[in-house]
Amino acid sequence: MNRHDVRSRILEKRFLAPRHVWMRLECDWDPARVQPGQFLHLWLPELRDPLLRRPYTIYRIRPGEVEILFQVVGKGSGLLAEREPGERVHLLGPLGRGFALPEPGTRALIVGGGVGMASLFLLIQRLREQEFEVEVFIGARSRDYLLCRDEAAESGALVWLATEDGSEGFAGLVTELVAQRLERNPPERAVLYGCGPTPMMEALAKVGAAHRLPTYVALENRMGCALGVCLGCVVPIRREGTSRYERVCTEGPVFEAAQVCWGFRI
Amino acid sequence: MNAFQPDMRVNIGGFQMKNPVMVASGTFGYGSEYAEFVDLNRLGGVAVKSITLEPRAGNPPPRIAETPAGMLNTIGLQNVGLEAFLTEKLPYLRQFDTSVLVNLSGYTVSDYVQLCERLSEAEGVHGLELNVSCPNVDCGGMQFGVDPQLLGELVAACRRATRLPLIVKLSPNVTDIVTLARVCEEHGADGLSLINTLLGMAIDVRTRRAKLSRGVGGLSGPAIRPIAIRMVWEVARTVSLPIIGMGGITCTEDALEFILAGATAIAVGTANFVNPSVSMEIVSGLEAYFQEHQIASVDKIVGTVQVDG
Repeated sequence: MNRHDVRSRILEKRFLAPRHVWMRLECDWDPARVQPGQFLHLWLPELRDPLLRRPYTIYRIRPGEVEILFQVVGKGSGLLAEREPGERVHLLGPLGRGFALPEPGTRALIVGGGVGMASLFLLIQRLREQEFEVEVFIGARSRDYLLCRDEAAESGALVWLATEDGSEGFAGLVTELVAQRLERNPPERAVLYGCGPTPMMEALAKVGAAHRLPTYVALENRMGCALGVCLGCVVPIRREGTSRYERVCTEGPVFEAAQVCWGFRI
Repeated sequence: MNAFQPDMRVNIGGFQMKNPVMVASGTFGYGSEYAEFVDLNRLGGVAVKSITLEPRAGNPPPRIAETPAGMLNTIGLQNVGLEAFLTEKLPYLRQFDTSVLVNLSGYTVSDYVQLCERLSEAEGVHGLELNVSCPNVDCGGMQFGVDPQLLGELVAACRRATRLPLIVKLSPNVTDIVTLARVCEEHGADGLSLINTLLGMAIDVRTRRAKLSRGVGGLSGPAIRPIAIRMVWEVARTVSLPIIGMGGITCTEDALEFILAGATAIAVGTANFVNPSVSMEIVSGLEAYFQEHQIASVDKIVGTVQVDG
């Protein structure tokens, strides 16, 4: 195992869109040992309310620092968003099982909904470093919330955009755009990777199944320990005909979409 | 420099520990999960996740919800079952110089008895902790812990089934915990763990749904500490069984509160989720306190809280 609990400091913070925050944090983890899709469990030290840490996906990592990108959704992320450079945080990680890279020659279609792009950027980077053909589908409610578009384009990936209000790119859901793309020009060998709101990932699972493409999604859930102990973050997963509860923190967060028993509450 | 070496060893009715610091059942898995953060050789003891005869799938999600200074859970005793525990989990724990307390639960008295018998034969089990206080299952667990007669029968039956130290983990969801503690004492228990989680509930006002799948769940964390301290104090004053105190311990000072209230040992629970090495900090912190105050051994201060009037 390769997990650490490091005392860190916020180095830089920016708001990318309303309630969407980017942060750069001190971190001495070896980037080569971090898988795309893995996460860290962040504690604002000595806080008692909220009591628990919060999981944040590892957006980018370099020697000496890690970046996170998150949406303010509740008390924990709200308090973190108010913290300033110089303030202390503790980072536990890297945690979970991330995305595996496909066989050489496979085309990677990467589908991010909103802040879900944060879980996918490292994957895009790793795939492009190994010269995979990569198409990135970025969806959001409107153009201001389209995250990582420049970074994805700079990596050499082909970038597709979708907004629910039609303010930029395809007008509609990003999964509809992916389905159209696949129908018009079915790729020979491809794999789908996705992260976003749970209904979006469920829709992506259907698109993947319809086109017989292996599909992997990074799930989110409330977590207690994130170390596999509290069993608080389970989701129903079907393997070899039987379904059972698996931990998003340990067996996940990346699951094969066809194995997820969708419809659970988180 | 520190010439004064306090004796940190404690004894819970035959369950011997090198120091009073344990980790509570359900918050530490089977030990291996915390390998990078805790030196098990430095822990007084480990209470492993509740074991049942057969594996259990547990309750549907959502299973946890946060509340002020606490968390609610409804895990529902998800566990690997007795056989997998003995063959896959226990060998790991045997490598370490720490005392292993196996928490066990069942649907019927016979389940508990069978578990006691099987676990008594296993190498590396130093004590048994009867879980009669899980609030998250319909059958098995808390119904034993809230009814003095059922509890008495269960403890007596388990007493006959094992020679290992037998510790009963009591539920705080009762009117008078002292009555139940006395029942344990009368029927042959060697010690008590106080307390399990308190029944609680939280509601999402936006969706108007209960935050937990089963509506209610067990509350843990600093929010329950004053209740736990009070119950340890009440029981320690009237029952002679040694007590493992738990409920919202997050630091050395919290641990000392429990000891002064009457606990001989303490267990860290929910705080392990927040700070995985907190148990190590408390081991060091307690020793430093005993050195600083020149207290020769733990029993010198157990239950010595002064109350005016």
